[in-house]
Amino acid sequence: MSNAERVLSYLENSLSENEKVSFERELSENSNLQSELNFQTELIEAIQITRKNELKSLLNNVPVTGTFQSSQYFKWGSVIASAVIIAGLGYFYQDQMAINSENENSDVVKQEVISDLINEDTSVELPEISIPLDEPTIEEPTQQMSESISKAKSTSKTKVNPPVISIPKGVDSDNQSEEVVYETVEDDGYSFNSSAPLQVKIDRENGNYQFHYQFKHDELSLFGDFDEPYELLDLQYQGKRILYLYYKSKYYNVNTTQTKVAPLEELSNPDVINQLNLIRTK
Amino acid sequence: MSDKEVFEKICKGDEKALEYLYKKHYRMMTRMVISNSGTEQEAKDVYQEAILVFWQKSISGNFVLTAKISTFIYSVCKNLWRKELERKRRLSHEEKDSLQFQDEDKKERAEIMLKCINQLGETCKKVLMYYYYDGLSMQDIADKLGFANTNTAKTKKYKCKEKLDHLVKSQYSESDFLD
Repeated sequence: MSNAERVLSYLENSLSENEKVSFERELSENSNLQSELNFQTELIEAIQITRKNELKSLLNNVPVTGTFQSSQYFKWGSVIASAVIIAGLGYFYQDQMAINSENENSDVVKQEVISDLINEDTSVELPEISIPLDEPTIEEPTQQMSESISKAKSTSKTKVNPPVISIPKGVDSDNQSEEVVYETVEDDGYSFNSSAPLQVKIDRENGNYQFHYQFKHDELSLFGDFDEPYELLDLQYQGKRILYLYYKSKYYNVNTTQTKVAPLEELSNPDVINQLNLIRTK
Repeated sequence: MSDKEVFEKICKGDEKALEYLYKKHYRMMTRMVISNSGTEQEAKDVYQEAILVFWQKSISGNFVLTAKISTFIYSVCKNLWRKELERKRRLSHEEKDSLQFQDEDKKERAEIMLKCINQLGETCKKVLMYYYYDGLSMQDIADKLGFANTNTAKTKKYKCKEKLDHLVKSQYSESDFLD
């Protein structure tokens, strides 16, 4: 029997116990036998790799649903909701500006609201809504805002196919809305959010977390059922991004520095809640 | 298809059943990895490794399924990913250099071997793959490839292996076989 045959018998478990012991003893003394063992081991591994790669090619051709495809529905829902919120906030502040110019106390009121928001979240103050991605509503705000509100309401309340709106279009809209908001708030020192649209993913399968979140690499991960529509208020004030989650009629803080999974904490400050309600309903 | 049906088909080497299973659990398995610091590509790799563990165990006839298929695959995924995370953590720069040096030699040999395997005829390749990876019996191999009987399959396997040995060894000098 050649070395190759003996080695294959050994590797394929065809030897008896005695033959195996004798073979292993000989290995330490016979370098040719050891070399043949190394060679055959590597060759069998190569055969296994070939078959594995063949099966992996098969699997790679299987059309699979993208990992976070279902969250795309909510992502688009939240994008549209953000669009409405931005347009709404623009008008809210326009109104506020008008009131302030007539009433000296308005600044005080705003400061109170700002300070409340500061208390609620130590890192941020009065929020400013970020750019809508895909709602060309800015040119004729009054009329189109109402259209977009109804559109956003319908899309945020029902699960619909994501709108076919390409990102470049959204970027154009962003620029338009940026200009509008900038005009209304710049004088008050609020900066404008030009960050990329918020990426959201939902993990319903993780049994360890029932109602948690994590914010990492500009992506928000939500853990839990989330079987009803939600809204994300992606706001910014003085260069800081502030996020609130609105779900089942409650607001939750979303800390953008929360890289570890943490439970969602309900917002309790009534003034801030009122403010956010105003933003949402506008 | 129920778990039982899928399992029975996979035990018989039904690749369509494997595809079905892969698609069915793709999201769940890849999400686990991605939500634990993995990229989508890493998640895909881990899931494919895990599902092929299931394939190999089932098709070789040495596996008794006592839980849901998804439970088994999920636990394999978790273990594989945990080990990968540990491996990444352990790897220091020094270790990387020395490992890389050893790997280069082995990598070169492996590349030559893979090339030679692909130079074999299709039947030879299948016989060897079914035998050494899928763990099929000679009877199963004879049935799958249309051989007359198990002796024919055995002879075919012997001859194909010998041919492959010769192909690879002819591309190396003797010194390459020694450590």
